[in-house]
Amino acid sequence: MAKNNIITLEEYGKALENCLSCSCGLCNKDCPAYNGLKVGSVSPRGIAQVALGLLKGEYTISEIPDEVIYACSGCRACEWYCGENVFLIDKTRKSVVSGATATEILRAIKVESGNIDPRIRDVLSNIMKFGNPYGGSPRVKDDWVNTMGIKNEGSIDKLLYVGSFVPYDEDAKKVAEALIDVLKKAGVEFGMIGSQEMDSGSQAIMLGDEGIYEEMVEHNLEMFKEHKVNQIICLSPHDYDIFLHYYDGMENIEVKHYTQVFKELIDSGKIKMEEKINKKITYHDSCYLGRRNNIYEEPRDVLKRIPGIELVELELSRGNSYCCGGGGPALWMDLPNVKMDLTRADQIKELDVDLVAVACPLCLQMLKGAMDSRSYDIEVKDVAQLVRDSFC
Amino acid sequence: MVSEKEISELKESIGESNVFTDKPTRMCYTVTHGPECLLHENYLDVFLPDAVVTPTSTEDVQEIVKFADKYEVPLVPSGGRSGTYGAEGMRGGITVDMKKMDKILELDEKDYRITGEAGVNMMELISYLIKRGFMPTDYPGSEEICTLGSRPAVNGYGYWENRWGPAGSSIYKIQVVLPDGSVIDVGRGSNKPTKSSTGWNLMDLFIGSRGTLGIITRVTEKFTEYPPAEYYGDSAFKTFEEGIEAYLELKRSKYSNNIWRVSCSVDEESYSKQTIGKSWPKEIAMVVHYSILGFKHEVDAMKDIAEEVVKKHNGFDAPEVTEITSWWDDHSREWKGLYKKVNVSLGIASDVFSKHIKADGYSARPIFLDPNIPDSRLVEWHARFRKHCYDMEDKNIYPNLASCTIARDIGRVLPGVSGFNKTWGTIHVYRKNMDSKKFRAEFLDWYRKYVEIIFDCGGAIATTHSWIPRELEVELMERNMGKAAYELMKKIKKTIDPKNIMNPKIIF
Repeated sequence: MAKNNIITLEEYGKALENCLSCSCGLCNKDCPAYNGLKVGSVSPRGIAQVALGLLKGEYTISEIPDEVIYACSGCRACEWYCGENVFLIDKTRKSVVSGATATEILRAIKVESGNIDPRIRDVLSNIMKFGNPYGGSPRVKDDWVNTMGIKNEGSIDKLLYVGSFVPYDEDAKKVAEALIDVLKKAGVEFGMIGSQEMDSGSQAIMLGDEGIYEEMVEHNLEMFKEHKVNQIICLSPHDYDIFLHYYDGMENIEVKHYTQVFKELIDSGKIKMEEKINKKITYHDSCYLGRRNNIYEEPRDVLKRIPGIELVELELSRGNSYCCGGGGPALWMDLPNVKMDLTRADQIKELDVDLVAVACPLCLQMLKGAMDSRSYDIEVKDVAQLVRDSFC
Repeated sequence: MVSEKEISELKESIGESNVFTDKPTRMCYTVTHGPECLLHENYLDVFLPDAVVTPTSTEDVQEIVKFADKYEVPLVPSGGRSGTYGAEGMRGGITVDMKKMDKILELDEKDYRITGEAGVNMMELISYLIKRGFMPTDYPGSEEICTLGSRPAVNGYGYWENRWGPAGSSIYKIQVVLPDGSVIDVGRGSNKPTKSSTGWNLMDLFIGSRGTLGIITRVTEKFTEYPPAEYYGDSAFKTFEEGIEAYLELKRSKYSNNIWRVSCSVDEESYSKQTIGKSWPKEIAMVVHYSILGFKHEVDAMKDIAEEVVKKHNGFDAPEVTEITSWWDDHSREWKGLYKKVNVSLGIASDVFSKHIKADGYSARPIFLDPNIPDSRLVEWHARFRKHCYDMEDKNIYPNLASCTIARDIGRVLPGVSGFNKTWGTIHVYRKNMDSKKFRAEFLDWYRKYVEIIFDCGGAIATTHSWIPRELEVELMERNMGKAAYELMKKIKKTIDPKNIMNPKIIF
């Protein structure tokens, strides 16, 4: 296996064979891509068979429909359901049977072939050139960090890593600002590295460009070293996940998601929320925070401590949470009939809530768009924003 | 081969987005959860369909069938593909994936009937009922994946079979597109979801027909109210004989039908996994578990009776075994993940028992064996079956099988129709270093002997999973049914499907 958890189709062959051996289809049940398209080849079991066919030379990458390669949102519900994975002792990217991993490998082969959708190509090119998928100027990020008055030079023991969507996506920027306000008021000493903070590589590897992914990893590790970083607080679960499970060389850096930090600050009395928020709300579990990293309780514990909030659970929550679609290419390319965000919005609507809380900038973006599309009168806010509203 | 010109015609009639001819998509319709495909080295030569179609309505299905009739193209209906026999693809054929027909059409709360399209996912249907205070009488082990249309098509096993019978017993009415493109609605003797003694019970002709007579497009099933009380019990036994006798007595439940489910576990690994990682003490040969549902006073009374039965047969508590106290909790969405992990070992993918992953990291293809054995011969059957299964692991008897198989969960028992039992065993086949020709030769010899034991004990082949190795199928079907009955079945098939286009690769 190459560095930073990159694996080839050949290396993944055993997991694919294991899927074929069983073919029970448990993975299909809550696959949002399959639920939308209802064709076997976009199901996790199907993707594994498609990838195995490619490995065995049954066809070339160009013969695989784009829909098959790009429908998966990477939510990893398939991994969670898969019986083959239940008793795996050594659960690695190479051994875990996963439609999402098979898809990432197919996308990597697609990128290598040079024949990719122009929308994907543009995103990858932006990440490579500017360190963010929007093609935003690095100066904008530096200016924003300066405006926020955050230390961004020299050694930074505790790094707030807001990710590549900030400050280019307006909603993600607002969440980051809320997070900063809360951390400051709670007396947390932290720093940022401005435009030196490039995409963590999560977008690049999801879209299949392992070359750019490795560039990002190399750059970020260098920055962490240069600034003597000992702890990273992540805004995005996707960055949190990739630092923890993909990067080589993070052994001496403690990585936390900000909801974990909030929970600690509340428990130690440094965050005291007094302003009432009299709303009925539900919490949407981000796939990469919950199912992938088992962080279910912290965001809920934080929300429960906000006075006035009535917290209700979605039917599909925690490990069963239904993906909003943000973890895949849906932000960058629209696939007809793959409407995970709208499906999730409908599920939320059933609860008759005033507000849905998220803890991921991608979920925020997807669900806000979905609520608008459906004309549902349901607010979408990040946990950080709600805490600020009550605390600051 | 279906030609491009013919495919264009099909695209025109049901829409381009519902016809797939690319090889990657077709690949996904070769294999099912069944063993047949993967026991052939070149399975794609046999099982890769020429096209896949995804109808969205009964009218679409009619168009597809008319097309198949016109060009004499075989059709293979497909639901959740969690079944073990029948939905494999077919070279030269078209697979009809019913998953896009996924609407629940009607809930009749007064008559306790629910009607849906064939592609409705069973878990969706179950959740839909449970949310409204009802429960299905047909609760499949593969509910996460399987479809409503597949339930009558395969006459599947039901979780509550001791109370409500197999899937077919819960079906009130089905809609079928026949091989000539016509549509029929059939109940039991009429076209309504009821019984009538004026005509034949035509619906039962299609129950278990696995797509060989037509394509089921719509199903009306019964449901019932959520029982107010329940009890789950389990007891351990030092000998199989004692365990089986206790099981049989519990199954019969005296004069009551409040024991909805009773079953025996025989394999430490399988049971421990069912109960989330608890170990099984060495002195235990068998664990019998049972679920009692009904009014509280009924459940309390039956619990006392059950405990007496257990005591009479020297059953004892298994303190290290975790009780799953609420099956209803397990069935709810909130518990789905846990239930899935339990359910995996209960039915759908019992290949996940520990040790199924060999040291080289490769896992196994499961072969499910589930003959139906009468109560009166169950103890005898159990001993003979277990010995025969473990013979497979003896390299002096079956050198090739021994090198690539593991027998697991051999002799689990669940109730079947009155007086019979679905008995269970799983053979795990490691395909990695398997010589498929030698494997098949030895396996067929083993299978013949296995069938002789079934017949000798007065039983029948395959309660639910239906699979018989392809080379033996006709011969053993004739024996299982009787030659005259099998010939009659052939005549009926020929009358309804004269061009033999409906799933022709199986049964005949």
